[in-house]
Amino acid sequence: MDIGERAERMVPLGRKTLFEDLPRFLVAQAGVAFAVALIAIQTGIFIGFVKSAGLPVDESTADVWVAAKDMLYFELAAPIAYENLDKARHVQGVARAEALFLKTSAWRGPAHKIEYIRVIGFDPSGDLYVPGPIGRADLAKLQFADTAIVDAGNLKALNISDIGGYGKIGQHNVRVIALTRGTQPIISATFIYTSLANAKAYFAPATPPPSGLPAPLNPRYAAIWLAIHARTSGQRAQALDPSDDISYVLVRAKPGVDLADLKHRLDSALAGTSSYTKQEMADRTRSYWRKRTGIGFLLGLVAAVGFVVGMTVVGQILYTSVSEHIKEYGTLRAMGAPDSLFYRIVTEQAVLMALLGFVPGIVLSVWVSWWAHAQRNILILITPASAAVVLAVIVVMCVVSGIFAVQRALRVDPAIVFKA
Amino acid sequence: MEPAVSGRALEMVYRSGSTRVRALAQVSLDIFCGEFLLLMGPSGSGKTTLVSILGGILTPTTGEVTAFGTRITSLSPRQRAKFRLSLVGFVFQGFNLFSALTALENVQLALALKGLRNSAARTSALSLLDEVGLAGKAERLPRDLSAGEKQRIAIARALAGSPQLLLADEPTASLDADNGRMVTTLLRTLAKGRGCAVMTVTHDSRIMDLADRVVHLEDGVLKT
Repeated sequence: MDIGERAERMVPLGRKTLFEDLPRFLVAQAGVAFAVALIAIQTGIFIGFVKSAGLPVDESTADVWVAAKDMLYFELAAPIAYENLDKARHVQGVARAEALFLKTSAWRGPAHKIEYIRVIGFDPSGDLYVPGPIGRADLAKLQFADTAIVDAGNLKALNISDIGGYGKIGQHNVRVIALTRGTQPIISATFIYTSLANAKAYFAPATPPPSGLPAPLNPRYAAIWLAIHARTSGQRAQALDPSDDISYVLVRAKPGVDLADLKHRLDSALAGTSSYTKQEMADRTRSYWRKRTGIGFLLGLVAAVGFVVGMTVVGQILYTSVSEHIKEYGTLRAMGAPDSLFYRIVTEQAVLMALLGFVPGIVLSVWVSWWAHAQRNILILITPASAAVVLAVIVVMCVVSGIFAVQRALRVDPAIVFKA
Repeated sequence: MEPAVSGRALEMVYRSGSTRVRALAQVSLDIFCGEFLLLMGPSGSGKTTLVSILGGILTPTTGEVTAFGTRITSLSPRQRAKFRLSLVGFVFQGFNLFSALTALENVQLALALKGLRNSAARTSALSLLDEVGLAGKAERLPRDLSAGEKQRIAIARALAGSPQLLLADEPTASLDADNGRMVTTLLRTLAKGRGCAVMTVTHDSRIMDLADRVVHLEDGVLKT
């Protein structure tokens, strides 16, 4: 331990100077907290976006996804025949297989407002794909024709207010029979969940000319409507034929089966398809959005700008602090204090500012994240790991800014001390 | 008797844009151990420049300073810092105390810089504060002390580690007559009691009677 370090340890000049003027310190801390919030929120948006892009894959409990060979990412896969589902079920090592259908369409809500949607058809009685936290009873309602489940965060976009609301997909008046939550990727078109049979019907060639939309139904009467609908017209939608299109076959492997081997067997058995583990599928989807669209680059750039702005804020605060005490630094210089003392003083101040600014900054970020999710269903993901990274970044940022500021102290002309 | 500090043919020229200002012109001066020397002169005469050069803060444009056997004008900035730390104490017109530190901590910091460990530094700092009559105000912050008390704390800090050379730049300028005389008497007592060389820059002719020797500086030229 050199003399400068020992002196600062004995008499904590850095800490005492920092806390000397409390109002000024609090203003400076507000600046650091702002920098923390800026970085945490912008990286949270980036992480949230990446996480959100892979949400549909994360929701699945399948071990392997089978898709057309040229599948680009979750939302862009050429159709494969429904008969592949049956073939997959006969492949050695497959415990369960279910089909998943995905296609783009338009939702015409009340007042003819159009929303760009992706219809996701799945097996409501299966368990390899369930869109979010939704009970079996609600899933069972999808067996009836012209029904759908939507994310509660999408009600406004679909121009409906609650369960029982209507919209038109193709020629079908589709009624929302249940709500799910937290399933909508930020960047995608609005997801509409339905059964495979309904999805097939929604995209079938037009039959009778469209009629006007029925009135929205009070949610409390939705169940009654379903019962009546089932007896009168509802009938269940027609099951898929082997030649019908689907987008994916989701596969659960038997316990102990090697997934790489299973993928090979599936690729061999199902012509024109490729298999991906769940992780590969999620990575492929996230990678598409991150790398191929430029959105990832843009959000990364914004996060980097947050870092630079934060560093500038902290740097300016520390530089101002050093400038305000320049005569005291000059006095230390005149006394012959070693450079290490100056570094220690400013570094101690920088680390204290980082730690004390981090707490309100991260609290603010978590609140903004909660608010954004509650208001607009936007995922700003601040995890303990990302908060720890932000803390490390802010400490490094403060110390680097401190090293920059200390140059001002080291360059001070000791003769300054003689000026009254 | 060998001088403690000896300045020879000191010239100091400042450049400000294309203008050259000569602050010191061929100044030679010796200061002896145990001597209480007053340096007087009007504002802008070069007094502070001379103090800065003799204390190893500034390097003259030409000329030499030898202090305690070391030619400090040939030292690197780092070596001069070490020289100041070990042998020189400074007292400033504006006190220059660390406002966030108590009186005790101000003195303790100087002692810590000179290598004293915690308990030794505290004991020594209390002893120095006692020497300047302020042991009872050791825990006060500078803002809670009078101007005279602040200057006495600054003197206690300058004495930390027993410097051989004490340089005081207008130490009485911010004080009333009584406090000014008290501080000057204290500096003289230190010169005599500790045997260190004390040079005080002042405008105050009322304290001339306390000096062993008075030198005058006018327009950068020394007049004895």
